[in-house]
Amino acid sequence: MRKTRLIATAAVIAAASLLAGCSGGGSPENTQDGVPQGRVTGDLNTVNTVDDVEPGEIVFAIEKTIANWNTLSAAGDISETVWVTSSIYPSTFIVQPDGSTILMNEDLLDSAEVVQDSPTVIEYKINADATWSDGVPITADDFVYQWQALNARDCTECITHDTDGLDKVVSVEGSDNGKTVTVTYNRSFSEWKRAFNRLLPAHLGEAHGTIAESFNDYFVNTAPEFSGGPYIISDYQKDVSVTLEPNPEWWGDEPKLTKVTYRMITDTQQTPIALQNKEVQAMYPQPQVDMLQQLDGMVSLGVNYQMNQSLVMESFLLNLSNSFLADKPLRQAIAMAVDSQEIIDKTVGQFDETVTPLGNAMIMQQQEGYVDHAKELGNGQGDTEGATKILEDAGYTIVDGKLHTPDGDEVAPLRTVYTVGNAVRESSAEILAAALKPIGITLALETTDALGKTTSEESPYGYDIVIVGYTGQPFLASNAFKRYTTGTGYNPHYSNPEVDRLVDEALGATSQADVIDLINQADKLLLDDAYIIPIYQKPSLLAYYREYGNVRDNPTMSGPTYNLSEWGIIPGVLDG
Amino acid sequence: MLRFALRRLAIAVPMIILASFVMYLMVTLSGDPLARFRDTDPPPPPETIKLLEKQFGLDQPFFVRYVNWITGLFRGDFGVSTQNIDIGAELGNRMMVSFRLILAAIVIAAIVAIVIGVVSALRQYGFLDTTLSVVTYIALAVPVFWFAILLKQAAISFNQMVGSTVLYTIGDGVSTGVTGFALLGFLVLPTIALVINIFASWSRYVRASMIEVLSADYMRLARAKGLSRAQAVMRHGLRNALLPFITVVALDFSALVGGAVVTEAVFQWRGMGDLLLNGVRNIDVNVVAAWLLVFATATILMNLIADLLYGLLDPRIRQH
Repeated sequence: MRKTRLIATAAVIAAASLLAGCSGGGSPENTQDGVPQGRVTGDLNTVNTVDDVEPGEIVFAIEKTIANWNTLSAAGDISETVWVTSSIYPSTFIVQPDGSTILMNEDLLDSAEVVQDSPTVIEYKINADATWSDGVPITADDFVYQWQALNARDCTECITHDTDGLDKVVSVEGSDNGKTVTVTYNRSFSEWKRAFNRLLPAHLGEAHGTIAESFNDYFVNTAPEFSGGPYIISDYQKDVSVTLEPNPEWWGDEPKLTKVTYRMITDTQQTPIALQNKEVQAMYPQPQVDMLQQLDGMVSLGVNYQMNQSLVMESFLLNLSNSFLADKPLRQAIAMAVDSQEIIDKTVGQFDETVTPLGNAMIMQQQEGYVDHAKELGNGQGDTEGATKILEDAGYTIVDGKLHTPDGDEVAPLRTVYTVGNAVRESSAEILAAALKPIGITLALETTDALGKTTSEESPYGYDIVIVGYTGQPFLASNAFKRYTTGTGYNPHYSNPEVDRLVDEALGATSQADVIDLINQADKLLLDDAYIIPIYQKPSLLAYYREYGNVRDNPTMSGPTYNLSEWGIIPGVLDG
Repeated sequence: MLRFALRRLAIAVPMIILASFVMYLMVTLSGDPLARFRDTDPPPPPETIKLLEKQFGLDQPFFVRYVNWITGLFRGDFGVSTQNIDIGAELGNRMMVSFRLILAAIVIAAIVAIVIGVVSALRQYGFLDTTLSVVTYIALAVPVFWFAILLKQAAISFNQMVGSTVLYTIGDGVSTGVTGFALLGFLVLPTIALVINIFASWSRYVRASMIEVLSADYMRLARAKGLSRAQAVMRHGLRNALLPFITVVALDFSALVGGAVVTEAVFQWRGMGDLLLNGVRNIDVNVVAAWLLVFATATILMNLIADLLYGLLDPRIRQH
């Protein structure tokens, strides 16, 4: 009997300790002047800068496995793969965290200059010491390989994701033993800095068949054994981890961390637990309320985090091919009735109070030149009276709570589509429906599991209103060209010749100030047309143990590892 | 016995072929395999989508794809994966990972189930039996993923208490080069999570079986012959009670794999469960179909083994 009691008592104690393990999470006491203690803030481009970091190791969690190593290919252009390979594949320019500053890669290039304006001719001078890890110099051949693979002419079988502007290049010529590269465009082109990033070694491409064969096969399926950057892959365990160590042939400043391991954790809920258990030291997940609470609970363990605005903007996209939405006043009324602040308050605002309504679809809030056009136009203000007045002035009537066109037709329910399982977008759609009800517009909410297919459909139309997350770019004109100009493929439903003209002028502008001015003019027209209604920019989150210096959130396509070679251990923090 | 086995096999083969067709059809209808490419921002140009459709054979009608797939299987070709993986090689590697987890769970669950089942039967309706019954019913009801999260949190507390990471919450250890005793740190939590559901149902079976055996005439005879209770239980009771239990273990194979899918996801083991989840997430038809085919084949085989064991243990079954 004594034994059975003992067993029963032990079982109760074991269960209690198991349940006790479940406790944790954030607490409201973990704040200082309203800012959570673990949250690090500062200038986007310099936050957490430490000059004299010491060597060490880090394990960085990524949410996806790597199935394709060619980040220039359609299936390989995945953020996580770009982060892992950013210190292996050299780029000519690196976009800084503010999304506007674009710095030349001074390790790769001595200079990159515009030598002629119309058409644009660029001269790159490659660092004489720059070599691939097998000792072959990095030369114009590598630039030519990328140009031929991406320009959509020389290799039509190359499964690429984007041309990076190289479709406008008519020639790439090498001189000075290949260390000088002269690139000639077919027109004046302001955004030439987006070209020649993530270079691949042409000599390895040639050794593995034609351009299409090497581009679609060798560089896709082979974990790179080469490097043109500060690190090289020392170990790769498929679907598990990638380990980098300093590239012995690297010609620049020696990287501080002696070992960087990217740990693939595909179930995002498990990553904070692994961080808490110190199995990983940094992670870059999509922020959520629960996750922020967990991070606040890890302050005492030494976990810090940076949370900024990403370049991804949540927006409502209106289908102008719908006969009702083809009418501008109706779209403008919808844009005016939307309450962006309410949507924020009931979604992302719950874990990030710094998120504010976005008023520009072409330039993001942290970027140079941002102007809030939505506010100027009265969009996104939840102004039901203003919306009603626009409709009444255009001849619309509201009868028994239903909106009727000037011709007397009842406006049919608008199919509003959002991504299945996305609770934030579901809430946004419901708030939009509630906002439009007073002006007589009914929404029929639907979900899609293939948003890309839905938005690209021309016939049959996949949506009337769709919630999208468009990613902003530092290359404002190119981004606007792809998204909002007539017949670009990404936009089957909108056309405004004036917007087309302004964006085209911006592509050919010679100064960034001109680009910003022209893009802002185009954006104001775009928002006045109410083709797209920007709501807010999604937050980004980078969490890490505080002993790591120079770890910095970069919400652009460069990603948080854009400065990996500068990361290191802050002296004294571990002792303290 | 041979005729019995052949008859069972004759039923199993068409079942597998039928199952493969149904599975392929269901997975094909479940969504657009290129959705993740189309959903990128900005999306790739239409020309790229056409090239991808051709590469993955999606430009072919369903029946042509199925016939290509099923005939390819005989050549060891599982078809093209939209995730760019070698399906055949992947199945082999991942089976080893899952096998390690499932084998450990079977052994531990069986031992725990036998001990609890026998003790409960011997103390039928006593305090110990009641306590163990409560514990097993709770274990039976606990969702694996929830229990796994609790285990992880408990492990973190334990690691913080001892001052170093002894118990790991992600990975199987082997993939990252861990060897020897340290591997236990990776194996403990997922094994417990997988064992928790299985041992509970098995222990109830052992208990019921043992209670039946204990009241049998031959047990009374054994005691009358002068054997102690323990000797009678060990020599005659346990042996007879456990023979049908072996077939229960075989029949529970599918439940174990189901548990392993969840366990592997939570503990990030790159086994068969993880392969299935990724296949489903990416609507990778050939991967999911190959997985389901392997699973269906294994389940049918395990059922066949269970039938054969029954036949072997009980001659009356063979005569029907």
